[in-house]
Amino acid sequence: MAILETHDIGKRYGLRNWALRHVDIAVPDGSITALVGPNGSGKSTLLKAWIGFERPTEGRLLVDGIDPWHDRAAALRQIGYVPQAPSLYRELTVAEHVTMARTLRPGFDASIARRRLVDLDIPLASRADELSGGQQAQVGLALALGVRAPVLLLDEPLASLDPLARREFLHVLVDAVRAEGATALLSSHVMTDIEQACDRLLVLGGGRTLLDLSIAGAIAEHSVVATTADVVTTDADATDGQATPAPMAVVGTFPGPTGERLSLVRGSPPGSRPATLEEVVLGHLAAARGPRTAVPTTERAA
Amino acid sequence: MRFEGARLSLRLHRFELIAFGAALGGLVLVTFVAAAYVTSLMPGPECLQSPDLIPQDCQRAQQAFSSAQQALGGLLMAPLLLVTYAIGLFLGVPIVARELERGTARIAWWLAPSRWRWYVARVVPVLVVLIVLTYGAGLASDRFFAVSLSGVDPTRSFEGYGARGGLLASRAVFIFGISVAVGSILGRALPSVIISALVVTIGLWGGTQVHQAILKLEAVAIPLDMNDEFGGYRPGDMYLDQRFVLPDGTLVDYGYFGNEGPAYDEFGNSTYPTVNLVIPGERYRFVEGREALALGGASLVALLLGAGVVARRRPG
Repeated sequence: MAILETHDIGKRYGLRNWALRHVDIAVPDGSITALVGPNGSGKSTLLKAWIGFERPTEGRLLVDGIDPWHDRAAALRQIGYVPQAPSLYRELTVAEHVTMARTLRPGFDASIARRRLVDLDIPLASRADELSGGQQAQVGLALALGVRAPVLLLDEPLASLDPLARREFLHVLVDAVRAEGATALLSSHVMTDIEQACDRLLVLGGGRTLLDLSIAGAIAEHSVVATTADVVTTDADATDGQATPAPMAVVGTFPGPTGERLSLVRGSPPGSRPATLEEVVLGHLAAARGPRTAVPTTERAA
Repeated sequence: MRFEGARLSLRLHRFELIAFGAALGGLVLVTFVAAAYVTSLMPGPECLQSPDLIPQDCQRAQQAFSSAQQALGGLLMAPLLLVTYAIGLFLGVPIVARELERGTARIAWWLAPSRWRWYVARVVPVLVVLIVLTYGAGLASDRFFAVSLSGVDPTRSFEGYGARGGLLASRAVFIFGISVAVGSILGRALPSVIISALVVTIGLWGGTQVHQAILKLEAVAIPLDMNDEFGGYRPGDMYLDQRFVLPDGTLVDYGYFGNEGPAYDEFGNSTYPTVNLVIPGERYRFVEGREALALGGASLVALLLGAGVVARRRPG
C-alpha cells in the first residue's frame, strides 16, 4: 500500500518554468526510498509539496490519504522532516531545540529525541552554532524522529557531511525507521549511501519520473556495455559485411570514470557486465538529458 | 509548557531585548531621577505670590527650576521617544523575517501543525515585553511633565501630548505591528527595517493629519485675548488654529479673505473678532484614549495581516 502518492502532479514557477510535470509516484508503506536526480530536477519541490510548503500547480498528492494543501495540520502529523540545511536556531542550545519541538508539536516524544542525541554524544547544553555539520544534521534527525510520525522526508541531509558523519546518520536513520516500521524518502546524490540504506529507487529528471523500482530490481534489470564509435552507426552504415547484431535496448550513454563512453542497457546482453546503482542512475539521467540512443547499434563487450 | 514556549521565543530575541531593554530601562530610570531633581528645585509656596511680591531669592529659584526643566527635558525626551519607536521596529521585524532569512521557519513550520499558533506563540511574549517597557517609558515621561508643569494636572493637560503616558506605548505597538507584517511579507530583515520605517512614518503622519481634522471639528472657539499670556486659553489646552468670526457668526480662516487678508485697524487688530480653536485640557483622557484605541486597532489589523501571510507563504 502506498503511503506517499502523487497523481499527475505538476509544479510551475513563474509562467513557464515547470519544476515537476506529470509525475506519478507511489511510495510503498514501510520502504526506505531514495529520491535521486540532478540539481533542479524537482526533488526538493516534491518533498516540500508533501509537507504543504509548496502548492502543486496541477494534479494531487497525498500523505497517508491526506492532501497536505487542504488539511496541512493533519498531513504534518504524519510527517517527520529533515530539511536540506540543518535550519537550527543558533541562539538555542540542543536541549532547547528539543523543548521547542515539544512546545510546538503536540505528542512530541522529547525523551526519544534526547536519548538519541545522548547516544551520539551530542552535547545537549551546546548552542546549535557550536555544533559540527554532522551534529547539526543529527539534531535535525532526532527532532524528526521525536515526532514518531509514520513518514520521514529527508531533503539531502547528507550533502554537507563527511563520510563518517554520513555513515552514522544513515545508521541512525535505518535503525529508527526499521524499529518504528516507518516509511522514509531520502533525497541524496551519494549512491554508496543510498545502496547502503535504501531499498527503493526513485529517479527524477527534467521534472518527471525516470525510474521507480526496487534497488535490487534496478541493478538486476540493467547492465553496461562500453560504447565505441561504431555503436551509434546504424545498419545502413555498416560496411564490413558482417551480420548486423540484434538491437539492444540502450537506455542512455554516459561517460565512465576514465572518460570512456558507457551505455546502460536493459537486460544482460552478451558482452555486458552488471551495472552498478550509480550507472543505472547515470544512464537514465543521460537518457532524459539527450536524445535516446535506442537505435540498432553495434555493441562491443565492455 | 506555555511558559517554556514564551521563554524560548524571548530567547530568540535576546540581543534586541537586552540592548533595547537596557537603553529604555536606563532612560526611564534617568527620567525619574531627573523628575525628582527638578522637583527639588521647585520654588517654595511663598514664591507663588503676585509677581510684584516675589523676592529676589524666589526669582533665582524660579530661574534655576525653569533652566533645569528645559535642559533635562530636551536631553531626555528625544532619546526616550527615539528608543521607544526603535524598539517597536527592531523587535517586530525579526519575528518572522529572520526565521525566513535563516531558514529556521522550515523546521518551525513543519513542527507546528498550526502556523497561527506558532505565530501567536512568537508574537505575544515579545509584544507583552514591549508594552511593559514602553508603558514604563510613558509613565516616566508622564512623571517628568507632571513636575515640569507645576500646578497643572497632567491628566487634564495636552502638554507633551503623544510623548507620554499610554499613547507612547500605543505608538510603539503600532510600529511593532507594522514591522511584523512587513517582515512577514518581505522575509528579509534589513529591507524590512527600511520599509517598515517608511510605512510607519507615512502611517503616523497620515494618522496625525486625520486626527487633527477630527479635532478641529470638535474644537472650542475661545476669543483671542491679547492681554493674556496664552491669548485667552489655558496652558493645558491643545491649541489648533485661529479663525475670524464673520458678522453672521461663521468662522473663516485667513485664506477666506484672499491675498489681501482681513482689514486691520490703526492698532493692528483685525476688524473681525478673532478666536482660538482649542481642545480643552479636560478632554485629554478622552482624546488620548481614542488615539490609543485607533492605534491599537491598526496594530491588530497589521498583526492579522502578518498572520495571514505566515499561514500561506513558503518558508523559503
